[in-house]
Formats: sequence, C-alpha cells, structure tokens
Amino acid sequence: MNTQSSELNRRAFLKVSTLVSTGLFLGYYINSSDDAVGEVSKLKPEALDSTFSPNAFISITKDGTVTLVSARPEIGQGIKTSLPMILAEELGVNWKDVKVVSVPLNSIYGGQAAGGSTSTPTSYLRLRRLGATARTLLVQAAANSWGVPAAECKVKDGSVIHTPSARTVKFGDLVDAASKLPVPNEASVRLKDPSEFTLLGSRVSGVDNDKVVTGKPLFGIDQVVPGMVYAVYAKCPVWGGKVVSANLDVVKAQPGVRDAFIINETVPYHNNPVLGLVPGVAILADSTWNAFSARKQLQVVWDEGAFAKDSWAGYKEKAKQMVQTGEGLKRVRNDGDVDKAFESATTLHEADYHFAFIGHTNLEPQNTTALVTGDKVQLWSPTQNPTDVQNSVAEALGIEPENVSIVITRIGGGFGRRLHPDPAIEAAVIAKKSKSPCKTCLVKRR
Amino acid sequence: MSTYNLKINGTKHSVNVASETPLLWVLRDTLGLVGTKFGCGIGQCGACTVHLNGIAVRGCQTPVSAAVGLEITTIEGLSQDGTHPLQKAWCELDVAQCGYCQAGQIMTAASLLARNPNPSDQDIDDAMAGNLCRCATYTRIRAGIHHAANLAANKEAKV
Repeated sequence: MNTQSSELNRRAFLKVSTLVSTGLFLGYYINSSDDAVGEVSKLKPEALDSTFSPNAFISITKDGTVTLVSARPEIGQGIKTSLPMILAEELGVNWKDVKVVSVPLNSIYGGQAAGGSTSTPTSYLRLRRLGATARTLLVQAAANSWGVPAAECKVKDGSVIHTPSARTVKFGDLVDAASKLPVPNEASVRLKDPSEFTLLGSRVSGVDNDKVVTGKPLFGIDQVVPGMVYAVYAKCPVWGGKVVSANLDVVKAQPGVRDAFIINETVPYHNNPVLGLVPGVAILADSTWNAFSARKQLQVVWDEGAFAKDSWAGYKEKAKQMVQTGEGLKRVRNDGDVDKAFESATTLHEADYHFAFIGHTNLEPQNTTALVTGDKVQLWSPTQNPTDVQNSVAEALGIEPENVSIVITRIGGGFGRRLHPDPAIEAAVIAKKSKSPCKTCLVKRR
Repeated sequence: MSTYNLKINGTKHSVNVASETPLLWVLRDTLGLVGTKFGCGIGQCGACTVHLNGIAVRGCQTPVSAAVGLEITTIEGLSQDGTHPLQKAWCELDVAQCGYCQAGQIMTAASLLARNPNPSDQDIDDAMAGNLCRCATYTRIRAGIHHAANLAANKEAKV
C-alpha cells in the first residue's frame, strides 16, 4: 500500500481501509482530519420543545436531565462510556446526572464506524467542541439574564455560577433562553485546559455494566422481531464458487423448517466479488436449534470455481518464487536510502516471515436481524461499520441507502471481522426472499 | 415434540420442543431469556453456563429433557435486582469488556463461591478454566471473584 491515506476523505478511507490491512487505519490515525471544524452546525437535529439541544449529541431538558449520545459501536473498547465523558467534561455536568443513549445510523452524527483503534482519537476534539459549544450557550444565557459578562461566569456540575454576585442557575432553568441564542462558530468556543479536567482521567464505571451482569438483551444476537424466523446460511467453502444443487427436499422435511432455498447471486463488496454476498443455501426454521439441526442434513454439490486448488502451501511457494525472481514485488516503504544502508552494513540479518490466515473467533457468532417492508429494510446489526452495511445492503436489494435503517447493537467481539457487511447482506437478502423477518446466525461447528 | 415442565428462576414454564433440544435454545428462542449466550455450541467456551440445582452446567450440552424437575437458574435469576456479590463486584471493577462471555463467567463463579466462599487464585483458575473470554479479561475476573467473596463475607459479618 502506498501512503496516500492522508489525502483520503472519510468515506474513501473506510472504503479502502476495510479492504486492506490495518496499515491504512494507522495512516488515517496519524493524519486524521476528522477533528476539523465546520461540521458542528450541520449536526443540529429537529428542535424539540422544552429541550436545549444545540447539536445532535447533547440534549438538556427543563428538569435538568442531560442526555448524551454515544454514536459509535461498543465492542468492548469502552467508548459507549468514554466518548460521552468527553462531551460531559466540556459541558460541565456531573457524570452521575448524565444519561447515555445509543443511536441508529444517521449522518447527523458524522462517522459511526469503530475500527483500527481510531474512535477516541478521531472523536476527541470534535466532541470537546460540541460540549464546549453547548456550555458557551448556557453561560451566555445565564450572563444575559444577570446582565453580567459571560467571562465572569463559570460552570460546575450542571450549573452556571457568577462568583462576584454569588448567583447560581441550573442548566435546566436555562433551556428556553439558551435555545434562543445563535449557535456560535465551533472554532470560536473556548475549550477547557486539560488542567481543568475533572471527569476525563478519572475512573467511571461502564454505562452498561448493570445490563451486562444481569443478562439484558444488548447484543445483536439477542434481538427479536415478532414473527421472525431463524436462519442459517451455508456458504460455498471456496470463494468464487457456486451452488450446483442441494437436497432441499430433505432439508425442508426436517422438524421446524419453514423454507430452504439456494442463493446463487453475488453482490460485490467494494468491487471485490469474493466479499459481500456469496452463493450458498439458506435454511429457515422456527428456532436456531432446528435451523442448525437441518443444516446437518444439508448436502450441497458445489462448483468450487477457480480458487478450489488454492492452498497455504501454494501461497508460500508463490511468495518464495516472487522473492527469488523479484517479479510482482512492490516496494511499499522507502524511507531514507535503504539500498545504501544495506550496502554499508557490517552485518546483515535475513529472515522470512509468514503470517497465516487466522480466524477472528468473535465469541458472539456472526448474526443480523432483518425486517424487510416493501422497499425499506430495518436491520439490527452488530457491525463495526454501519455505513458500509447500509450501502452494501442497499446495493444487494436494489434500493436507496436511505431506505436501509440500522440499529447498531452492542458487539460481542469485533476484532475487525465486523468491519465487513456480509452477515447483514445475507440477513437482508434472506428476509426479502422469504418475505419474513429473520435472524441469521453462523453455525460455528458443522 | 414433547411437553416439558421447567422451573426457571423460580417460575414454572411449559415448553413444547424436541427432547434433544439443548436447554440453551429453549431459554433463548422459546422463552426469550437471552442473557444466556450462544458462543460455540460444543461445550468449549462456557458462554451458555447456567445452574441446575446450583451446579454450573453448559446449556448447549444439556438436553431440555435432562433439566426437568431441577431448579434452573440463569443470569436473569441469579439475584432479584442485580445485587448478587458477583454482579456488584463485576460493576465495581469494570470486569467486562465486550461482555458477551460474562453471564457465563458469573454463573460459573457463583457456583464456585457457593461451595467455596473464599477461593484461592488456584481455586479460581481451576474453576474458571472452561470459560473463555476473547477480550482476555481473566485477571479482572479473578479480582472480581475475590472482591465478591469479600463483599459476601462482610455482609455476613454485619448480619
């Protein structure tokens, strides 16, 4: 990979980086421009009565309830807690008074992917500005009501304080006045000096801890839609293969099976025909167990295609040949004068490195719940990359991306595997073909 | 298909499923008790751990027919209000990362504490060895069990 990543816009970044290694993520991390100003004013949602909501991430009601949005997927990295903490720090509220909510995919929140360990660094300055903008408006509203300069006021624990006159007003009592003020340019608002931080750098408990330890339905695999069927999808074991035939009659006769059908279409993912939707056999049943049991009776004749004879041994041999002949090799880094450094070295060390294909082994099996209604799709998706899910599902069903709605669930392990949208495409296609809402689940052992 | 009468978290349920159906799927799909998780389906990860008469078992390896007449306890029924010492300890120490395995971890740990209220590191490691955590929260799980043991001991001391 060359080093053009700094020039990539966000969308291009996601498109490219999900296809390749984590190298580009690192490039994006270093060269991030997501902190740039200019987006905040676009983030204002429909104004609600009796609510101060200067942007899509923050709302404060008259009773003082502070609701902060956590827009990116929680995979266990802790951002459902840490990202709203950034907002709360700049806003100046007490963490115990904050309610954190997850939100569906929506462009008003900006990027909603989580991958390559970039969520916090790429959100940090932006969320600070959003919090500081809200704080600035609340301070101005208080200062106006008291007829004092805003600069004489400070904020603490959800109140604006004017020390010289010993006056205090709660944020909730400023909702109406602050809502009427024009939202300032986000670049002009004063950010706290890190020495002023009281929340960031402290330890708080994960916002969903109580739900995790009591077994609440947080994860994708826990979602239920009335009338849904449970589906498994037996994919061709070789990329690029197809179904020739399958014993569908036998499968359909298994207990609890509602339907079984062959899918022989492919939907490329970012022009890559072997990612995205690949051919296979869908089995739909009245329970996961019955779908799994029927899967054991499935026999498929595959046309395994051009890659059927690919092997790890073959790749190793090919790599060895390439190194020997130089054919097809590309220099990916050339910092300084590498050739000269090698020539002048007193000792040369030589080694071959092999990195085998390793499964991500997410503990939560790949799954998606899909409800198709006319030309609209609702998905409950444990995805690290909801925008790609939206676009690829739209492509697979031949509908507009805005007709694909996505609830981003908590994720039982991501590790990058869930940057790829294939489970969501499969669920959407199966739900459409079967005319029934469905939840897909990967069979881990066959 | 047969009818099975089950007692789960103190409540009686009647389910009509095939006899070999694992308890895991009766809980999750038939009864909607999704706190018990499906991880591997072959008894290797422990995510589906529940109690039968207080003993930790793998829900994916327990046919529903084997659970009849026994007290079945899932994570939803470990305590009335999420205040089992393990649940409190897990929250206080932020044990979970993604959290997917933690219901199983807590159920195995609860079974351990019931028979060994003050386990050593070795006792914990031995008891918990069958519960995998892909986020590798093992050191906090161990700390959480010790903390829960202390919480339970202090509570008893106060009574």
